[in-house]
Amino acid sequence: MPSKPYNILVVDDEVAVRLSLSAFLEDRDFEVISAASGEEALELLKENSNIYLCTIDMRLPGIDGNALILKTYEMFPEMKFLIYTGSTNYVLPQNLKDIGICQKDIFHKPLRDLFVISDAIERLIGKNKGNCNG
Amino acid sequence: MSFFDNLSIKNKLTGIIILITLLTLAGGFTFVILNDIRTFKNDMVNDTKLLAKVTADYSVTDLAFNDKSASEQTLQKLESIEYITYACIYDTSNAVFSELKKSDIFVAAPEVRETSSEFDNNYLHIFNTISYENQVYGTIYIRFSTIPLNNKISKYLITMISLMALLIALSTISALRLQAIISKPILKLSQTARDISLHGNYSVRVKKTGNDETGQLYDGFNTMLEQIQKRERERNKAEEALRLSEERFRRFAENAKDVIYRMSLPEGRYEYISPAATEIFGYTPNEMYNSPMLIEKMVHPDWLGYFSEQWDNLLKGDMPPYYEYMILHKSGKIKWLNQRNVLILDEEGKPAAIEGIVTDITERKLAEEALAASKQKLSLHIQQTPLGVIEWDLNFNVTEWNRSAETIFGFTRDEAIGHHAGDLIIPENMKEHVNNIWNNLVNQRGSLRSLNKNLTKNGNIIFCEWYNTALVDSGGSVIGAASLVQDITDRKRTDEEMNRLRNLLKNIVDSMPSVLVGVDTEGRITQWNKEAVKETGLTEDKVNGRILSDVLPQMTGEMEKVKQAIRNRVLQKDEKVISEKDGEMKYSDITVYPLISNGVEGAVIRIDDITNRVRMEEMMIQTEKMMSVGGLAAGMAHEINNPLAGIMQSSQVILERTSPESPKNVRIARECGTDLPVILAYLEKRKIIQFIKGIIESGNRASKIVSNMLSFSRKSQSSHNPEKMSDLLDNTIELAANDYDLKKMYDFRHIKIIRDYDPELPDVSCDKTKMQQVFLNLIKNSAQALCSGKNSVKYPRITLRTFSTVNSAIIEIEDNGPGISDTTSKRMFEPFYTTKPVGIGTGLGLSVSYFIVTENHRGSLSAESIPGNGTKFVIKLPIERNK
Repeated sequence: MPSKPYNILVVDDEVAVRLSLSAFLEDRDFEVISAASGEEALELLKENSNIYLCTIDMRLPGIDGNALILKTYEMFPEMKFLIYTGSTNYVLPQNLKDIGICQKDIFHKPLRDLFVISDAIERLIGKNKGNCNG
Repeated sequence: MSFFDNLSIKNKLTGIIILITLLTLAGGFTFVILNDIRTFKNDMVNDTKLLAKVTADYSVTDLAFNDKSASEQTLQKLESIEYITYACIYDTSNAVFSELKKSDIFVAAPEVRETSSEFDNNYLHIFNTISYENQVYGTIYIRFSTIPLNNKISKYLITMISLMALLIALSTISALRLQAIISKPILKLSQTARDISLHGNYSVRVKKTGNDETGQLYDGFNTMLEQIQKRERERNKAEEALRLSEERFRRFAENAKDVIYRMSLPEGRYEYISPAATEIFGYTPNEMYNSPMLIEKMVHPDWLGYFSEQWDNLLKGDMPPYYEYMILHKSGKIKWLNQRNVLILDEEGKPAAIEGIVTDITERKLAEEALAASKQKLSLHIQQTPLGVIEWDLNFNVTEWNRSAETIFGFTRDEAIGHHAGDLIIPENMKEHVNNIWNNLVNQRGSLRSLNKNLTKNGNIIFCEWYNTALVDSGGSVIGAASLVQDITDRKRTDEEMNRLRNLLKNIVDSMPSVLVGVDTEGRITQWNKEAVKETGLTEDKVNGRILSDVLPQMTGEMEKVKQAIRNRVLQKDEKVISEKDGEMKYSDITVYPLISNGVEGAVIRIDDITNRVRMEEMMIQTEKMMSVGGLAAGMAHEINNPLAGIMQSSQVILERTSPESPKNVRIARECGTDLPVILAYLEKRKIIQFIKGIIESGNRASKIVSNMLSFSRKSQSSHNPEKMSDLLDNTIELAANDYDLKKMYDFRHIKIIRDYDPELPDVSCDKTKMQQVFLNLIKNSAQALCSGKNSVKYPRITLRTFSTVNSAIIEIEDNGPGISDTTSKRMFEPFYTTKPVGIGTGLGLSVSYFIVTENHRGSLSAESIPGNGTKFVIKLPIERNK
């Protein structure tokens, strides 16, 4: 039974990445929960309605990142997404663009500096949401 | 008489003399004898008559007195006369009065007669009339035997005959002897003559022995002999001549191929016919002698009318100079004869015979017919031929002009004949040329072919082909010329067009980038295009007729395929045929196209040098490999990125959580019963933080390597952005340093990198990835040159220099390696050209770099090198200075 209202969901099948990212974001005072697969993520999302942002790794064991985002968006239209992927040649598909995800919401592993993500999260949830061109 | 004629002179003379003697003697003796016999007889008669008379007289009385016994007594007196065999007296009544019987021989008294004497048989019958004084008293008859007379006569005859015989003998002997006086010369002459006639020796002369007629005869004979001899000589000559002439005639007649004959008229009998008859008629002369008018049977049925008409005319004496008609040879073959005769007339002027010659003119007739037919054919040809047929006299005037000539030139036959060629059909500017041709023609008497322009009646210029021949008479002198002419204006045009097309075709064929070779069924070269010349260095004339595989090595194994293609009329293709040229491997696509049209046998062989393509393919495969490797790399990179992120993130979190600045850290440290600074001090002393930082640093480096590699292998959409050249170069150096060649031919770290960057160098608009590719390639080349095996430079050095000119940014990559040779420098930007051993690299690096710099960036890439003194690559990129 979650005691804290989680805000951020980290989805990544790589343990070290998941844990370290979660730890980092916690250090930034976010309430973070993580999932190792898309299915797990969806389960968690159903149970934790306070989550307002997900960082999604594109390459997942079951349902892939793309589909996960779309599904999540279906359920939670207000959800914000960050794409954190090891694929350097990831191209943002149109259907994700349509739900508001921008190029600057995409981050490539490995990040030298995780503060980049925390900045992006601030941006996404902050007052200065802006659009993709902002 | 002839018997006598044939006796010799000697015998004749002797005979004559004897005969004369005989005659004379016989005559004389006979005369004498007869006379004497007559005389004897007369004497006897006289005697007997007297006796009778006397007796008669004696008997008168007896009679008168009819005294028979007296009469008998009287008669008895006669008895003493022996030769009285009977006597009787008749009285006047003619009865026997008295008789005297001499013996027992009965003798009948004969009839009474008058006084007479008559001899008969062996008796003399004397009758005497007994008369006295004219009174007849009776008749006395006495029969005297003539035996004594006969005896006497016999004796006398014997004597006379003996005498005659003696005289004859005498005369014979004398004659025999004396005739020689006459006969001997004559005999001699005769003998001589005989000898002469026997031996023909007219040089003999008889010696005269007297001057009598014989002597004259001798003279005459001799003269005659002389003359004979002379004439003999002449005659011999003449004879000889005649003989020769006869011989000749005989030979002619016998050997003449023509039949020589004489036929008597009107029977038509052959008096003479030469042996040639056997050949010409099929019948031997003998057969013809035996069958008069055989010629009539031989005459061909169609010609019988002619023959009988002519025969009738002939018998009238009307004969043409010759006859020509057809016969059937004995064998049945048809023959033509020509017969020339001379009509021989008898004394009355009537035809008696013809002598003539018959010639077998079958061949001539056949030839005549053939000639007529061929003349007709020729005339037909001349009229029908599309070629103009023109004949000229020596003055170059037209003498013959056929229908086609009319068509070609427009002048009718009438308009053309008699006119000079120059007036009709030779344009002004051709006149001299044509005159030369004419002169050559009539002087050299050969055939000439000429092509020249001609003029038609309408004034059009046409192009004609002439075949000219001089016409020569049997003596060999030129009497004119004959020409065949063809209007080849169209043909010329067609030819020109064809030439043009041929040239066009040749140009097309030559412009083909493939080697195109035409061969015959044996594989010998018949066509050879420009590319083939380029490929082999051999011109068409050098290769024509040679076997293809001798000239093009890559065809060595292919000739069987060529032959197969031609045989089966199926295209044959052989791809990627390997051959060697100048030490390099070459690949060719060989396609054999058999020629399958219109009796043309052979093939066209197309050889495409696909070495480049093959290498390109290999490179593509390599690239694919590389790309799949790249893909692998990319995949690997992604795989690496995750744990890498894990490492770095975790490291960062560790650092964050060891930061003294985080209140959370402080709080939690206190919750753990210690102080953050203490923990930090420990961490510091044990260099934990350093290690963590080291992990982060390594991770960063690893990440950079991965990202560099990824960015490099990424199929980049070309986008030109302003880039700092120095950055690109540095990145490239890092990449190069990490480039561990499979064969580990070099270690980049040993190379000293000298950087000489112009700080003022503006950013150059370029494709980052591509430029990095270029730099990497050049730097790698330098590194390989510096470190390759035995030629390793002692202090290898690569200098990277950037500076600018007004329009360009210059980037120089220089090494102090062995430099590049002249050959290499000419070829190093060629695709697939490489000095590296097989298997190392694709040989594309420099050519792609060149392509990138020049095509993508409108710059230039060049190399400067002195062998032994290093190489410098110079890249010029255009820059816009609008700042």
